[in-house]
Amino acid sequence: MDTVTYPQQDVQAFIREHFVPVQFNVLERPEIKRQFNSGWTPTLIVQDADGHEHRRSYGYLDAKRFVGEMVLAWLMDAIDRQDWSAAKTRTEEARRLTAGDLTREPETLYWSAVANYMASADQTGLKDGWELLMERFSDSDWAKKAEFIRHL
Amino acid sequence: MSDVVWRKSLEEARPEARRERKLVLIDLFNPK
Repeated sequence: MDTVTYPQQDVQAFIREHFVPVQFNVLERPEIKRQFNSGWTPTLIVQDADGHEHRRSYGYLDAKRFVGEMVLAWLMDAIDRQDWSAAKTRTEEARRLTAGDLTREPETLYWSAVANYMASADQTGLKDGWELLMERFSDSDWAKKAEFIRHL
Repeated sequence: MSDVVWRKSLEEARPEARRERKLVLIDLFNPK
């Protein structure tokens, strides 16, 4: 990550805008793996200032996937706080930054529909958003999580 | 554009995150 991903300008810009980054070398501080309940590196954990965890990722990520993980962490922070107005705004950036990422774009579409629904209390937003997800990524786990809405 | 400055502790990062309304990104890495 230090060699390939972190030097990328889009990665650095996104970190600076939304995060205060902390690095722990697990060889120098082996107790850190236990402290964060992680047995593998690299592990990326996103917490808020109170220490509440909003997302976790194991293994190497290239720049595109790293930014996708980080924008989803930023989105999940708003969702976990039930700040639906912020969540709706953040889904717009998440949709832009995860476009073409077959793992993260379906997840973004899922949460985008949820945020639209919760921000407006209009169930149409949920149904339409999940239909788009199921149409575009029918085999994804996120589409499978949404399928039940067709039976309501 | 300056490089990202990685902090060395949560005690340093959390007050800054609270003040600047940001999240804390924690990277556990093995240099080998």
